[in-house]
Amino acid sequence: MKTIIFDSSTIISLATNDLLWILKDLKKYFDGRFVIPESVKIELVDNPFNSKYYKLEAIMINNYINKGYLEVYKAIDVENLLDISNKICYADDKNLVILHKAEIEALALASKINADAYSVDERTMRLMIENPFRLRKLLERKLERKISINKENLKKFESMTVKIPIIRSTELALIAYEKGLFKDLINDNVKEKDLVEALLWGLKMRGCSISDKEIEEIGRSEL
Amino acid sequence: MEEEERSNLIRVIGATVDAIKNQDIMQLKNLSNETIHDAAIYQEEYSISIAVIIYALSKIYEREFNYKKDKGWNSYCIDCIKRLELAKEKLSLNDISGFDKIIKEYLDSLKKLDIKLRDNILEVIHKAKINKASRLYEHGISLGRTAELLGISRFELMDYIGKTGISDVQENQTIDPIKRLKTARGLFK
Repeated sequence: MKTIIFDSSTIISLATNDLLWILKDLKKYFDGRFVIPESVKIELVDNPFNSKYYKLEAIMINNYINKGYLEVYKAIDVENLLDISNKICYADDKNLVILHKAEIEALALASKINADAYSVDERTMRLMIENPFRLRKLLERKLERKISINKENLKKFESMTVKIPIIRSTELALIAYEKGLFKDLINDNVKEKDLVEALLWGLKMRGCSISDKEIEEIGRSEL
Repeated sequence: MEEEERSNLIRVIGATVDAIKNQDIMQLKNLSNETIHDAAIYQEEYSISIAVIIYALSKIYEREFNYKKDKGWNSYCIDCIKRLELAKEKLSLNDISGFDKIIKEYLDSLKKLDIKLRDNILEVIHKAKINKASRLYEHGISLGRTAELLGISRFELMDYIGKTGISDVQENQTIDPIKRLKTARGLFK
């Protein structure tokens, strides 16, 4: 069955922009399932539910889980992959612990079930999968010291994780726009250009890792 | 605690006390930023707590005028310097558990302040945590790991990060955005 695995970051971007509803319609076009691992559900629902901050978003996300638009996959053992992932980048002789268990669990699940895509708005995990040497460049610039890559562990990481396409909430919103899910919002005062810009900037402002340059490029190609 | 981290903390705490005495807010902010490198590398609660405390102090002293009239402000200021000096002394003696105890006691002592001052300062501390978390994320540590280290929610952190320029840095773009969009289109036919 076709599957997209979601990291908590994509769901947070959608929820805080009141865009969770697009998942319901996109699921029909996808003709498959949208899945979050157990640890992501804990981050999205269980933890914020017990605090006054973002309790409402937790309740809304839980509603989408209860209705089956998001499926929760039982916890899988990721200790080995987590250990390897956090022993790839080194500052001097010290390994940099850069990833969290929930992020690794989503990636491990995507690999395990051979998912069609992994949706992640968070930047570090995306860099680790798509271009770890770019991540090294970032770490070197910010930490102002040489960062070495343990190639053996990087190889192990790559062999344990599939080369999976990565998408973000911004791509999901654009697909929803292209499918006409926002057509009610277009009127004499709100042009398509306004809507696309509003979607991309709204998601960026709530934490989706997309640059202003990327937004400009997408805007030019979409309109 | 690594030796490099310990010596950095001794220097930073000493400079923090001087900056408070000289009312040098800018220096406090700079010192807080300096500790972020160590916090990103060692990820020990000591560097993280000190980075948060110093940043919070910069904000507290920046708004000193607002707090001055609050009950307990003067004794808070005296106590704060005393505890920082004591923390530095413990570190100099390589008494890490003693240092840890002083920092924890300082944070606990905030809960015992007069209600108005307490609420204001705890709010500043919470905001300082989010600010420092965003700096760790900026340094390359993932969102989840950063939220875990600072004990804040991902929702709060993403909301804050989105309003910074962190995602605009050159290293952030890995794949042509149009190509990524085409991939997404292929999934939703």
